[in-house]
Amino acid sequence: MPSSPPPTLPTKVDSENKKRALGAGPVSIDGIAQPALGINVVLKSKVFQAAALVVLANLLLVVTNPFKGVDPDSLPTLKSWVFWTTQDYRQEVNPKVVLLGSSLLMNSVWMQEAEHLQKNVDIVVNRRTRYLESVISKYIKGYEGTCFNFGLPGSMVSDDYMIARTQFDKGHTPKVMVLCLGPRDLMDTSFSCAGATTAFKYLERFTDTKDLLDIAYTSAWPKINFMLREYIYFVDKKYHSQSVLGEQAKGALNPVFAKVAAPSAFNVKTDFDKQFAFYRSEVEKGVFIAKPNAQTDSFYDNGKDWKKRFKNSNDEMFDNQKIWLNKCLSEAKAKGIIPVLVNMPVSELGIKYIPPQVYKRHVDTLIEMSAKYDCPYVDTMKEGKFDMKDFSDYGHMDASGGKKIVDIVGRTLAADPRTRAALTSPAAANEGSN
Amino acid sequence: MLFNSAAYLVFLPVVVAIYWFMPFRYRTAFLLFASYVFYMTWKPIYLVLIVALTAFNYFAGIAIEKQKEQRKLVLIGALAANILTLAYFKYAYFAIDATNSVLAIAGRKISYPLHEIILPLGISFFVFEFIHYLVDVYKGSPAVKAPLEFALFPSFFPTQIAGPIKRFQDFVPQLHKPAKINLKDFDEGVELILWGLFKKVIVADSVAVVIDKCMPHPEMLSTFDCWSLLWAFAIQVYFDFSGYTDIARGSAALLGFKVPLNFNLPFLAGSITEYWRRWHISLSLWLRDYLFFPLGGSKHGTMATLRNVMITFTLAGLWHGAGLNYIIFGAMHGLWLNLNRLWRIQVEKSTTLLKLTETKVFHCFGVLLTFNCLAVTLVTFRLPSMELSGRYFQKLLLLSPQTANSVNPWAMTIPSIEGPANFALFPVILISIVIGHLISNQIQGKSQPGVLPLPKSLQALRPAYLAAMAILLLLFAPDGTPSFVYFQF
Repeated sequence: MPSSPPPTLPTKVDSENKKRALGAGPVSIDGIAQPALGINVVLKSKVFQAAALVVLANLLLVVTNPFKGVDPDSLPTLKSWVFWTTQDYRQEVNPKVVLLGSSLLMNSVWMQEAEHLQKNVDIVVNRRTRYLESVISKYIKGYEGTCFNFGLPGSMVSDDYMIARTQFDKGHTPKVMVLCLGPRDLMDTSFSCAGATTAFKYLERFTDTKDLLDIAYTSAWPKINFMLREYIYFVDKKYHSQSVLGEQAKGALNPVFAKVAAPSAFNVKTDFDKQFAFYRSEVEKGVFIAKPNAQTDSFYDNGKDWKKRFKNSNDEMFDNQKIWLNKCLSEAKAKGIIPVLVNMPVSELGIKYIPPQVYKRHVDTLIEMSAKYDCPYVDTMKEGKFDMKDFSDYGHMDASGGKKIVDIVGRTLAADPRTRAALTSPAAANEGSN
Repeated sequence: MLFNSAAYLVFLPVVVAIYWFMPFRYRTAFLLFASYVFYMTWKPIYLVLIVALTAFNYFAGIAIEKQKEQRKLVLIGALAANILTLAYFKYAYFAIDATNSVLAIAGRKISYPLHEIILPLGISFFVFEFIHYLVDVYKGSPAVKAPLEFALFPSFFPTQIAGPIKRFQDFVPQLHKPAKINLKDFDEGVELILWGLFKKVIVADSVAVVIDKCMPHPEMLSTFDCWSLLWAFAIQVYFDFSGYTDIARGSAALLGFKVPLNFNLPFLAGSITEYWRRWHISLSLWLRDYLFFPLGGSKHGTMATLRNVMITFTLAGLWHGAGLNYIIFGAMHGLWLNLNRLWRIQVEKSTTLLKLTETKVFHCFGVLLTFNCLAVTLVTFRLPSMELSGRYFQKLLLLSPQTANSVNPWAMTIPSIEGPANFALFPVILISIVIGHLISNQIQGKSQPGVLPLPKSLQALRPAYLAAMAILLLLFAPDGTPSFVYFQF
């Protein structure tokens, strides 16, 4: 009868191996004993315990959200173009017309404003375009209502969408939104993704942008940053907490220090400060003043930059911005705003360096969108007679160009029955949906 | 890739993970590869220089070891090559300017090189490591034969850009010892990195906002402002550089390496001599061993010693940067050290003075005096021109008309643009960092002069302390990545 092997008692070696298998003991890499990164080892780590505490605190804050009530406008920010323009816009009650676009729009309309008013205009704090109001009044008798120039340097269509989404709310919803787009505004090569612009970064504090993740952050690093903000309360609310805690500290310390040290000359910005501020994307009041009857015959040769911008057609960016254009027009429609698409003029010199197929794609897209969203479209290259005297460089116009643009926009708004009806409607302004 | 950048926070864990899971025999090669990648992130072309210098010094070391009769000649040649390389990249423009100011008397001038000379990052540090290597091999230390090990010595990424300046006798043996991944080292490494980031991001960068704004305008400052800005700048430099060093040491610890300690509470030094034993320790030891001692040290009488100290520290100033302001910065340290030496000679002669200097009150006086002497040297260190430094000194020493008001930084509008909350919270941060430092040392069981040891049970607080640091970093991290002060050297 075969005998079964006698049961063996576990040896010390076996129990060591078992421990190793559980991750409590050393394993060997290349013949060198290494403690395995098992759960027992990890739990002993002070760093792991600290990380667990951070996660717990994070969860607690996500649930309680103590900074829920903080006004996003009170958060620290660069005083950029979008900051000042938004501040100015919030002062307007239900403007009738808002012009959206890049510096091509902003500069020319602002310069023409100074000509029209025959006085200095500080673009930083005065965005109302009375000239457009006067043009509309010329065509629509009894027209009343304000027009606002929301053009921003470097603005992309995605920024225009963010403006429409975050700023066109109750009490601030225009009747008409005029999107003035040049070829650059849909395919700028100097941004990695839509979410990287100063305007986008500023405006996203007013809204939850989770639904925009895939189109706003098309490259990996910005997407990671967004996810960090989304899931780590301390990152998401850092401006809130800095603002609240900072103000509290200032409130406590200022009176103490004020007794021994009065506010000094450092509270006054020098010209150097202002100039320096511009280079860090900040804008100062009193620096950008348009003067009437200014000499406009000087031409700044930005050909190198212009050629670089259009040397390569950024198809990926264009496709992305087309999605934003769709969203922007949908947003306007949803809020009862009539969108108007305007193809911005390009100078004789500038058009030479835009590949014909790129320019055609731009124009075709605007036509396609105007049909899709049943909105007015005007091509200023056909409607207006622009010459080099209207341009201060390859792309930007001066006051005379601004006058032509505003004239075309005003005429279009008055001529199109949809916009005319909206602008003459006696009803109260749109209430907005958010 | 700065230590306080998001890129480094990805780079380091990836390198650490691969390193520990890699067979031991490949680890040196892998670390060298990672270090070169790290270096190339600044400017890829820089790699050519560090590789060329490494190859040159590798063969020079072996040649010095093998040579019997002409060892000194080989050493001098190799040292000259290293020094000339450093001089070319760091001092060419300064030398041309200085020469031109002399030639201007004769109405002549020499022109700049046609190509722009860009200072390669870390060159001052790795050239000093090469010099140490060559001299020590000459003195009898065995040369490093394994090329990869030698190449890793200057390029080791945690210490590559701003030290600490390593010794090859300490570093290379660590490559031979098959280190084990160790939970204690891991925890300490992460804690050092967190602590270093905290020093840099929360303290140094916050105070820098006001210093950058105010210091270049002495005409708008009161004498009190000038002094307080210098104290603040001393704090900024310390927290910036020691923060960098902590991150470097922490990163090295995660890879199982020990690198030299660079700071030991320097602002608690009772004399300028003690200060240099606590501040940038790896540099002061290098200066002692490879400059002060070869000059004769303190073996040839008082006058020779004073001269050697002066030469050593003037050159140390020049090492910090190519400019008269840095030379004066170094010379001032030399002057303070010499005055301290002369004072100590007097003290040793007098029993009364000796007893006086041993009192706690005198020690406190010494700490204050040392800190202020150090602060004064920072005028030329911080301000770019001698003319500006001169005006600052005038205000500092009550030699120019007073401004009516002192600066109340909490009422300033300009810094609020760049760092609103961080600066406003600065006093709170400073107090909490001192408390944090004491707690940190207590829970790590380190002795703390003048502080009663707390119960061992406080070890339990360590995770909470680390968590608090991490949370503060997340809350107050800037959007950008400000550079470290010592990266420019």
